[in-house]
Amino acid sequence: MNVLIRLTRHRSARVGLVCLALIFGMAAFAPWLAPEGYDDQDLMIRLQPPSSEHPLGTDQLGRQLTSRIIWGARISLQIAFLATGIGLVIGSALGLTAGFYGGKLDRFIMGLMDVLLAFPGILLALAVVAVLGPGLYNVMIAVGISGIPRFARLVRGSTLSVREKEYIEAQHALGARDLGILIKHILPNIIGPIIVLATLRVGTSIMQAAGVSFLGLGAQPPLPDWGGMVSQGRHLLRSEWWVGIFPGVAILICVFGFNLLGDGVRDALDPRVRIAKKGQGPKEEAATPS
Amino acid sequence: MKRVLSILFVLMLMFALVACGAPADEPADPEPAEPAEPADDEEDEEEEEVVEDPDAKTDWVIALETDIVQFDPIQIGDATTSGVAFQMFERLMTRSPDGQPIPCLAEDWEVSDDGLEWTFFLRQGVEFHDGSPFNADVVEWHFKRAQSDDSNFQAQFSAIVDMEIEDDYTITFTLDEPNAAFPDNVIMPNGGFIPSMEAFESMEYEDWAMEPIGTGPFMWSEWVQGQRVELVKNPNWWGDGPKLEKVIYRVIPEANTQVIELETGGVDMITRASVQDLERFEANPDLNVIVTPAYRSRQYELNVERFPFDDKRIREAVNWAVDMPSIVEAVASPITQYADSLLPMAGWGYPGEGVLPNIGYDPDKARELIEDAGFEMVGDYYEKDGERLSIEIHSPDHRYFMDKDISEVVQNQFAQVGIESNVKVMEWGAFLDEVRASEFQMTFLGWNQSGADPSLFTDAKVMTGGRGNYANHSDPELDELLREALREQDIDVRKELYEEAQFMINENVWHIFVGNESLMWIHPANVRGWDPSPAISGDYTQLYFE
Amino acid sequence: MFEYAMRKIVNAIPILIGVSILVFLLVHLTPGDPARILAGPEAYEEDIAAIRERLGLNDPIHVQYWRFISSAVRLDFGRSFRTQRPVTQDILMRFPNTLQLAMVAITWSVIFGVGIGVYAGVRPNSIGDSLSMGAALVGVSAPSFWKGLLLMLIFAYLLGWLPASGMGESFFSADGLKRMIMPAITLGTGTAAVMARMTRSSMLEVLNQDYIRTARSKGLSERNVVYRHALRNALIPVVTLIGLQLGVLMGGAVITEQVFAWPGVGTLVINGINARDYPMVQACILLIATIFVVVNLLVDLTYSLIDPRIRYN
Repeated sequence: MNVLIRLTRHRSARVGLVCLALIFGMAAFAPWLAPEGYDDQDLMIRLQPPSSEHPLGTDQLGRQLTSRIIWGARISLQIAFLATGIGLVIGSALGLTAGFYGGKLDRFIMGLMDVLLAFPGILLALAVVAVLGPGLYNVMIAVGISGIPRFARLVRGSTLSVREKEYIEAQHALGARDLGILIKHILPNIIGPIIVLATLRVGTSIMQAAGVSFLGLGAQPPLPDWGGMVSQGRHLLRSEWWVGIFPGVAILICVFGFNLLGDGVRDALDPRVRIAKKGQGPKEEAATPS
Repeated sequence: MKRVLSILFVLMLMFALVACGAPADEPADPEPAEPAEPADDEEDEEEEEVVEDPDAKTDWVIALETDIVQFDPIQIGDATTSGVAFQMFERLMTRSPDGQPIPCLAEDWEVSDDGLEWTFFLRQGVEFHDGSPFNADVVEWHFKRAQSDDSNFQAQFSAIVDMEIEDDYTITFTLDEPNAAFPDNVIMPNGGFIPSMEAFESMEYEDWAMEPIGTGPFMWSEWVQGQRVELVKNPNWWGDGPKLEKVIYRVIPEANTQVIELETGGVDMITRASVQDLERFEANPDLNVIVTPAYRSRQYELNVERFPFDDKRIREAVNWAVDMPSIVEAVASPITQYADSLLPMAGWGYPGEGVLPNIGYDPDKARELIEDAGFEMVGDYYEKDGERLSIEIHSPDHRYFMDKDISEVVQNQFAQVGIESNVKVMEWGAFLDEVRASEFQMTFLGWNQSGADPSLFTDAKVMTGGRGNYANHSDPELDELLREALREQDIDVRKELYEEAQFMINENVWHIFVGNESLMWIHPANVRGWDPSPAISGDYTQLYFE
Repeated sequence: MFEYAMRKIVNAIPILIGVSILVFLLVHLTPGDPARILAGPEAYEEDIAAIRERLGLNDPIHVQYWRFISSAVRLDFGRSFRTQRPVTQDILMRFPNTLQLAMVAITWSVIFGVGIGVYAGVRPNSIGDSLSMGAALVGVSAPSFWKGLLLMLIFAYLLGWLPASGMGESFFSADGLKRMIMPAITLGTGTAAVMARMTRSSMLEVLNQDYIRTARSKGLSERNVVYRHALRNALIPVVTLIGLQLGVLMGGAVITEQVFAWPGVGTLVINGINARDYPMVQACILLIATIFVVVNLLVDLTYSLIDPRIRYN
């Protein structure tokens, strides 16, 4: 509870929450907020510049950018949460296993993670989407996979430091099952840094997914995927700049919000450690340009 | 020392050129035309003496979207390399502006009465850029290589079953069956470019493939990977010209940047621009915009072996449901023009607008036909026996002009009549896999040919088992007609046969026709002596700046 | 120390082998037949089959892997499917371009980032601090391709000050420098922001240490304290971050190069993926991964030099 209060008092977290409220609001109330559907084409009003009639202008098929950006919030948030979720769940499970059992299993899992980490994140995501084929869900999986090693590393480190604590050894002595110990005793003790990393990772996920879309392998049309919209606008940049620039602003606000929130969560969870030290807590993960 | 020698050499060359090469009406002017060029660039010194106007530009700078790949003719597969290769290599025949074969390295040819034997009389005294002679041995060697395992075009060249050298400058090809399209199919695509045999034998393969040596009007000079290709004039070319000293290609992938470079004089010609830019160019008296319809047809293939296109009524219905002329006009003009045939409008096989039976835009008729086929509206979409009338539209992205956007509009218009559909935009490699395996209901696809012979389109796309017949079209009567048209040597008779064939194709309703994608050129208005046509666009031999 | 370094190096080898296997699998699992892409949609089926045979794509997958890895250890990555040229040759031609871009990007971003970080760190919670940190976070939060497009729109299209894309003939010419500006800014803003944030927190931490208080209480000027004592210690973690960021930049270059048509390894790898040019993709990714691993290794070694306890960790 304390954490939540501290969070709402945290200055940058507040700003972040405002940004996110905007994005979540767009996603939740899209049918009421957006004047048109995201695929309402009107070939008569193609590529209209922003005006009172077309607030953010129209795209090459005469669709209102305003409406597409509002609907697009749903897509981006879906990607953000599911992709982060995949990385979080699988990465944490791997990290817990590696840290808890140690030995060969640990070396194997972490070796695998090192291999994944050696790939630049965007290339790994791109390669995975290329294998799976383009599409919203495949992008989520790909971005999720590229997040796995980061969670695994963090969780393994924290697990190692908790494992040797006396109460865990006491549980072992009492004959408790491994799984029980992991879930009941270890996980609650390391949840803080995981949450922080997850919050920061959400922003990275959105950016990576946008990067994959930008390279042409994103959500399928006519879904209003922000990254894909920037990519389309790229070809029109010289004369119809609004098509590519506005969706980018939406990405910016969304990622900015998550990063601020992440900073806030980190400070709120551990007010003493305002500064992340090597080996403790996640490093400044917010900073991952895609 | 080397430097001194090279300067001496250049001076001698200049002297020689002044003495014998300069046209009579040319004022002698020893001043360099382009003071901006560095003085120690030897080639610049010699170039001044042969042009008509000493102040005119003599280098022609063209923007390329992609870099060149490699120049082994039997492996050239991309348009960029092909266009550059065209300057350096020549073929036995080339094309007249209306697409008919005309002499090039062969001065003349004869076809036997049975249409099986083609005898080529080669041009004499032609030399490759390395000084080696062009003769029948080279021709035989080249076409043998083109049939070998190293070739990417074995299938095409397998039509030649025998080659016989009559004398140094006469060679006879024997075909497996009569083929009126033999020149378009075998002699004139990329594989027909004839390189130097001597160079092939004396050089490492990869050097040979990257330092092309042909007989053409321009010679290979320099390549900066990912940035620039430079060709220089071949002074010994057998033909008239070239008037230019250099052809320079600059790799500029972004269309926007190409436009800026054109406007600021960084390049002399671009081949791509947005519709908005085009409008501006056309208003600019200093620039010329040339748009020429090309032999590049675009259509949606309807897979007749898959639900729901196994039912002809549905094939008709989707045609009624889509207002393609308006879509193309709004989204893709002027690059793509609506066409009502599989054959390109620019070719001689197209009978003209309004001749062929065609389906217009009428959503009510579409609904009628769908209901006729037993579907009924449930909610927003049609269903039959609980099965939704649902179509997946395969579409590439940025492979054909506005492909994905056109697909999105089609999907939207389908929805308006109650056909549920989704666009499956695929990355090119994966797209080709699925399309080749006929794993689609409906797909956007283009067919590009450099020649106009109708068989290049019909025999590949709609003949039973044709190599590009991915949508399983089959009509025995049509097959028979097409075979007859290929055996026939008389062009007027062929015209009639192909008109009949197009009637049959359109009546089968195997496609939703999109149109023809044009070629486009934008260059300064003071360019003279260059007249691109769909058949031959890269002939720069007469080009000069005024 | 030597032993520690050796152990680290030996550890890096299985990672690189793992990367090679993973890259190999990924490219071979990707749908899309290289021969078919090479030949195009208009090609004959027989020709596609012949090309496939020539490229060795009909061999069993383990044979192909063995061929790849056995020549890769000799730094021979085979010939590109597209160009028939040795892949190493193309990469050697392009890699300097990517390196140049990454170096310029990291140089300006470190200078700029550390400067801002110090500025913010010595006046925590001031307006200047909030503004600069806010700006840094915006820098991190904007997708790089969008930043690139925005710069292009403003400086190339609206103002016409800079060429929109491409690379100059030489870096040391006016044209070369002009063409470097936007890609380097696009690639470096993320890093600059990270640097600024890291330097700030590091400064804050150091300024709260006892020896700084002692120095202050001795009456040393604030300037002296900050720049002679605090900064030196605060920069230690920042220095190691530079190494890590270099790896990040090599990856980020893929997108930046794509936006600005920069003829580097990034465009090579994207074109390679699109053409299913297996040898090219394998070699490029292996190169990028190797750089990443080596840089990390160096960072670890540097760190262990600074802080010997790490070795026994």
